[in-house]
Amino acid sequence: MPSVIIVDDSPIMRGQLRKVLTGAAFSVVAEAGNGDEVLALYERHRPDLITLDIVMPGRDGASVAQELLARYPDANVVMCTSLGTRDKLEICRHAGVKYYLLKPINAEHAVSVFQRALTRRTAMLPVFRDDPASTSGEG
Amino acid sequence: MAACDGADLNGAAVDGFLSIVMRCLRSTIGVDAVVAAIGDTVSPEHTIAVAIDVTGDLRGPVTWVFPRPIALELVRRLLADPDPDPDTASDGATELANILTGRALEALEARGFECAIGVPRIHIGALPGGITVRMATSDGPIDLVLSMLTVPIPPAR
Repeated sequence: MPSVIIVDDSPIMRGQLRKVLTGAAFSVVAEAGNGDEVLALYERHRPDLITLDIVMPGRDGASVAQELLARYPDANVVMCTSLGTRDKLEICRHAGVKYYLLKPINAEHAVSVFQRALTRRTAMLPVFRDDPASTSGEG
Repeated sequence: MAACDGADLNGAAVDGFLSIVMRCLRSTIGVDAVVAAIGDTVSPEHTIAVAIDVTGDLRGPVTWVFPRPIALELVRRLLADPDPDPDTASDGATELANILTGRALEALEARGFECAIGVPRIHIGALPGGITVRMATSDGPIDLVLSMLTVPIPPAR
């Protein structure tokens, strides 16, 4: 079951995403209401997917995505945002984020985006499996 | 920030803003709203007020006043919960304000105002001054106060 971290300051949005993701056979391994602890959570869980809100108290989702993808270029990041954040979206695009969901989130569309993001990741996995260096290390 | 000619938040921009808000209310929570009055006093009873700061070519808050049933309708729809906890109304109101303001900024961008929004917050106390719009819905009125001002352009040297 693919794992996911949900980051959104709105409890309602986290609730909706949790419902959509678990309904699509994802396992929600952690949730956060701000961007401050996301990198530590990511490091701890190494999820298959992470959903990030952009406008949040404390650290915003765009700067989190930027640092996350700099450290983990294979991270599967889906930005979930309302409009009105175009400058932040530019930061996300430059950082390499490829998947976006516009609020209010349509459940059916969201599932297709999550699955597309996941397919991209699993499609890359055999490359790592074939790499002897990646199988000889820890874990 | 894009060059802005210093125009105020004019009637066309407000009309565009409201048009998107009404369309978004219909698509998001199935509520039909019509502009009932401009400049009326806002009733604070049984309502939740949410403010969102706008920055960029326009600066200042957009303040929404939602009836509780409207806020709970968003929760009902997003969580597919026919009987949401009444305590979630404030969360529903802040998210609805976030969605509506974000979408409606398109109307301002179309008129040359490049803006961004901040984190929604529950507003307590007297509402700020500005353009006040009342929208009538079957669940009670939604009030909106647009308090954004144009950022002055520094004189050329």
